[in-house]
Amino acid sequence: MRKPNKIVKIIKLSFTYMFLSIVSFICVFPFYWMLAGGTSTSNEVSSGNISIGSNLVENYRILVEQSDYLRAFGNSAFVAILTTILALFISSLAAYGFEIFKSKRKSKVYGVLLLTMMVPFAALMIPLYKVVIYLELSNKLISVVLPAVATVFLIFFFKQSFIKFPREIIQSARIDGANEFRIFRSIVFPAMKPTYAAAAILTFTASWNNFLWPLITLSSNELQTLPLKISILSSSYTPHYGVILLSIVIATLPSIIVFFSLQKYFVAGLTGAVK
Amino acid sequence: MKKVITLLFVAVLILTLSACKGKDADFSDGKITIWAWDPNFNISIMNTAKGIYGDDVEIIIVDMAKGDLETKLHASLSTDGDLPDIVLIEDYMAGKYLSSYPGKFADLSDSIDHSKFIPAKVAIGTFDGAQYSVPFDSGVSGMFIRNDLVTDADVAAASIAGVTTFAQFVEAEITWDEFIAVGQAYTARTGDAFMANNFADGGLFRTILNSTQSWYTNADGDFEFNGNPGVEEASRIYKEIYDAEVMFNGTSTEIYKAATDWATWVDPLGNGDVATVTTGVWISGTVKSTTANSGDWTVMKTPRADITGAVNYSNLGGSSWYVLADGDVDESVAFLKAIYEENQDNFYDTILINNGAIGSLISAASSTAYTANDPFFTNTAIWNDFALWSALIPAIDYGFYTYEADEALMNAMPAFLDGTSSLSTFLNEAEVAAKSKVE
Repeated sequence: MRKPNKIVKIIKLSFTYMFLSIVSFICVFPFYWMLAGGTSTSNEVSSGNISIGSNLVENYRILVEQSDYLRAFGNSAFVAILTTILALFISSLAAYGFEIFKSKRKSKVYGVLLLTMMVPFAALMIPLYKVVIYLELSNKLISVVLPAVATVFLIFFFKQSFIKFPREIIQSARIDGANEFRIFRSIVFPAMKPTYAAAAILTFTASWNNFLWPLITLSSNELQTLPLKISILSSSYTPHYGVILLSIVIATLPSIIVFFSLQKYFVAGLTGAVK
Repeated sequence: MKKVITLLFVAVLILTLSACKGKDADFSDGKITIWAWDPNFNISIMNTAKGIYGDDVEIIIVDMAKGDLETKLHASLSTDGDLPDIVLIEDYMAGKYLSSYPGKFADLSDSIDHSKFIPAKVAIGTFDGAQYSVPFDSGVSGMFIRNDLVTDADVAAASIAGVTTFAQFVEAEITWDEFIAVGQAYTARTGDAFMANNFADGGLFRTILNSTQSWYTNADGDFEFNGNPGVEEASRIYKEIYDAEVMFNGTSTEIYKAATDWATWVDPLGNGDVATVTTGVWISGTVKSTTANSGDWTVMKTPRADITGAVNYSNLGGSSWYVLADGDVDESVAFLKAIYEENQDNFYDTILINNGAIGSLISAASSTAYTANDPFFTNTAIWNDFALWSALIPAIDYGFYTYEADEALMNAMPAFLDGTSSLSTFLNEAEVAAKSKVE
């Protein structure tokens, strides 16, 4: 009786692995194609060649010389890093306030905030641009950063993980004479590192890939971010596919690096930092 | 931990402050800011203009993708946001901008002498009797054909009156039906496609339509597809091409190669998979990029639709410069006038040689660069031909919503091509869809 069971198990397993292999292939193949394309000439890409080519250095030279790509990379890095730091700081403080302090109107305000999540950015874009113009911030990198530093999603995200934070610790710290900011800084923040890591990954990636808002608010070549540069590369009458794909490969790297360096915290952060 | 937090704060503070005192906007006096797209064509051409004009005025050319520029321009025009002094607008979009944002573009009727430019281009930038554009590149069309692939026998098989050889064919003014007949002979002999076409793209459709002296709209500016002779004829020609199959080695073979995007449309031009392409002159750069084909290509006039009023001259694409009323109008007009109207330092010769760009200034066509023979195109003066043809393009009022009409027609087209919709059903459906897009 044992033998047929084993066979059935092996068959089931092989089906599982086969299915998983196919799904993995479907997921990984576009990335591989992008990498292979980045090393190929335009003709090789458009003829459907999927092997690693020998044009990487030439593609990189064209990319850097013709499109001011490194400056755009610097602009994107500046915007994404500053946005991530400010957004984490401001949104987590707001979430702390919403969760820890007692107030009658708190839940109403929070409800209104959550409602704003339903409004698509395209609807907010024009009024937001008017505000930026009024404040004389248009065509400055800070105009890309500021609208992203207080996001309702991040407040919601932090608040959800603060729910589980033991109030006794906060209360005993208060008894010991610590002020609220000290409690936040020395007790809550260290315990919530996984949440911060997860939020950092989400914010950094969103900011790094942001396209529409930088397009509207930035108007000079020197300030363009990477997604804008890639869009320009793709829209020429004679597009150079190898260079375009290489630019996308390079643009993908920082998000991947940020993700893998914070990966061990990421899952813990999503499932709740405090156990 | 305290140190980390302090460091974090200092870092944020420094970054924020440095960002705040960052670069000021580019839009101040003594500078001309220009928005355009395509670094290899428009941007490169404007850089040539900038080099010729000298350093008296600082000219800043901002490079954007075409679609991005349009999004940004709409946002800035509707919010009084950052705007350039000069902007490039595609001809099909000009009517929409001029009608949607009255007063935002400078009236150039008195400052630019529009009689020096080809009439079809001037008509595009004219709104409510005022001229707003400085006409730029022409999208004059032609039929590029491989003289090493198409033979006298292919031409003779098509029974075109007075045309029996390839040499006579390239000089002739043919109809689309004659084009299809030669294509059938060519494909039946070689098994190769005569042309490539993306039937979901309206490029060829617009080329045919423009040559019939009509557009998607009636005199009131409303969409009119059904009963519009130009649209009906262009649809008929699309279907004729789609249905023109011949037998090759016992199998039914189409005379076209189906393209799905730009790359699959352009690639066959280099590798000999197709023998012709009928489109705007701007394709010449792509055709010439395969240097091995030098001497194998010839250019002839665009085939003609078979209805009254149709001509062998047409246009696809092209764009013009517009000056923003809130910008530095005087400086901008002085610059555009010197380069584009007065042809300073033979500007048009330079951009023809460097970029394959045919301008819209009539007098430029008589210069040496235009009249020279091009060895790539069997030593013929194709640039002179294009310049002459561009002056004969029917002047069309493109209205406000070319792309909306285009999309509606191309979405409904497959049912017409495969025979499930009649011509009138197809055009009715497309007309309803187009109207719903703009209401």
